[in-house]
Amino acid sequence: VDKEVADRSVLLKNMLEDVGESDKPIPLPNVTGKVLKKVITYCEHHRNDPLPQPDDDLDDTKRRSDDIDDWDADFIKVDNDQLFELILAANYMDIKPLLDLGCKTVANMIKGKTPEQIREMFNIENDFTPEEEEQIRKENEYVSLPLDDSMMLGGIACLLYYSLCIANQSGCQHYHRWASES
Amino acid sequence: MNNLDPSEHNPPLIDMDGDQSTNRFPQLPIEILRPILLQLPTSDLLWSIPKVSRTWKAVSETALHPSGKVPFVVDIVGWWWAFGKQGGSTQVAKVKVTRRCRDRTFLERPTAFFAGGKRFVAVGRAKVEMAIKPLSPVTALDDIARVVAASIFDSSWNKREVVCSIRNVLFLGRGSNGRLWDDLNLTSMTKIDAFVRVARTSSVNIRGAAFLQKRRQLQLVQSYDWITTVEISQPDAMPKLDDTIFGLVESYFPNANHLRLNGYPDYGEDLGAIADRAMDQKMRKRIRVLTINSILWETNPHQILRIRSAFPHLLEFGPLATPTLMYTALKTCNLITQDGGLFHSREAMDITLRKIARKETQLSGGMPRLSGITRLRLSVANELFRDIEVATGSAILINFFLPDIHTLHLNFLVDRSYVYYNPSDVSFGQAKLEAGERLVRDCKAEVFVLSLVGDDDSRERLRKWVAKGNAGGKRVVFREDFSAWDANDEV
Repeated sequence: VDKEVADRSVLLKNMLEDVGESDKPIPLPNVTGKVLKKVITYCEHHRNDPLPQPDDDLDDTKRRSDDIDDWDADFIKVDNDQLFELILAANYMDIKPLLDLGCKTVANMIKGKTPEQIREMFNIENDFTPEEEEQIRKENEYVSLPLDDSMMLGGIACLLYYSLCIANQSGCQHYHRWASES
Repeated sequence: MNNLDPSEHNPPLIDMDGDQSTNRFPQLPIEILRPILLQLPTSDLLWSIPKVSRTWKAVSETALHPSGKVPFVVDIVGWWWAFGKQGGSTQVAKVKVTRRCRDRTFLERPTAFFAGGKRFVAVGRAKVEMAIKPLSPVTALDDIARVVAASIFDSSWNKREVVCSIRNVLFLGRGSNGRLWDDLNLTSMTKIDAFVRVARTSSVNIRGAAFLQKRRQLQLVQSYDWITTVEISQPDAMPKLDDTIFGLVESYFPNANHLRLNGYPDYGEDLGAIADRAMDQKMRKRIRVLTINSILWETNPHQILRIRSAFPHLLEFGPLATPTLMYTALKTCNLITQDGGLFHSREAMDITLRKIARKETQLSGGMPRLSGITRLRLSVANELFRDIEVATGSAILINFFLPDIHTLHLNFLVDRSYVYYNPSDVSFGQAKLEAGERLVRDCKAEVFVLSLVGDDDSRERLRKWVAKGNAGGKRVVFREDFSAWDANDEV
């Protein structure tokens, strides 16, 4: 693998810097050959991309899971097990763009799902006690006290009623004519 | 660009029994779960994820996006009603939330959505997003977070005031001078207490006496279970590691595993006595790092062994004065791990090395060397490189204890931060450079990784020094920041 490709991995980059010029292989015990091949494919395709900068994360506009380009989308079309291994490998080898790609893909699976659907998808047991569930329900309930609306409507009603009363008490001819006609 | 539809690219899996499945995903480890959740829209993160399971709830509540966006729940005390009259209620209030408001726009500009643009609070609970910006990792307080924006209201709808309060909260965690402010009154503390629970800073530096005096007054009944590092500073006296301190940590910081006590260095604390007092404490088995900057120099190895018994999971302990003590500490506190070949050290070890270097004659104490360790990492920010003598002594020490040393990582500062601490000593940066050169020359490691944070002139000087062949053929690698270092440097 070219050094340029290997440098996409921060782990490898640091190791290569430490050992200097050497032909000795660098062990990657946590990555299987199949997954490594896939990782290398990714790194080779992105070999000329600018390396991610620390400040990139600070750009909140990048917090989107739907900005995956076509090649990456095709690349990440793998079964869930392989996707899982790819994410782990990207995390271990410190390849942030690949990790982001994997995380975005999984996030897309999660997005808009109900908690039950998420549990089903990830094989997660609901370990909340009934009391905790009740607590969560309370925490998340939507409080709908239309205080301002009701007060506003009440105010309008009061104003209308008050106007009618004044009109009635003043013996407004126009009002009585209008009332009797109607 | 392509909007991915999960159903398109996830072929169903067949499990081992050959049953139809299931498109299920393997269970995610937490370190992976966190970045995944951070890719989700805030509405999912706030409303769906916490209902999945305890783990997912915990991760979603503590997920801190690098941009500083962190979701949290806040109780607002007091409420405000439609005609601007402020209610005097002290009950927990909630912000009215409707479904259409549950997105980030709402979270960032809540007023625009309340009751058609009117500000409106009803009894309830608000989920709000707060922006926290981590400070530069090169600072010693690298886990400080700073609020840069917040979109929540206090009882009088004074947004600015609330933002200030949140800033106070984070200063409470690790302030500009690392102290718990003394002038917090009960009212503001009540408010701050609500926010500090969501600030999620992992460490707290408290001023011992002030905190102890005020804790009852402050009525701090909640514990800060996400705080893992507690540093108790008492610059004008010695914070004794006694039952009071243990009780304080146990009560308010039940998950603290780093405990640091900084006191006036002329007062000594007997290690054996500390060990005896710790034996009765439940928290002793939790402590991984124990730093006491006021222990007696005349401590003996036997006392360290007692400390080791009292804190069985200790990984780092210090500072210590003599090579004998250092060696005992290394062995008893697992400071050196044979398997990882990693020699872990932080500021406490800097002091230790400096002291040891000045007593190099004691190295002939007949102690066995620690063979098989090839990599040594030293965080030598200030003390070690104060003078060449210390660097020379350190090289001797490293060569002696670690005969198989191959790679030596060093990070040191030669920038304005030193001037901040030592404004009178303008030659310090120069001295550190010379000491660094001496260490590269004298230490028998083959590779030196110098993480040099400082001005370009200093780095350039070191580069030229190496280029002239002064490193004796040793490979020298320069790095310009500590970030990668720090990420791996946690015990």
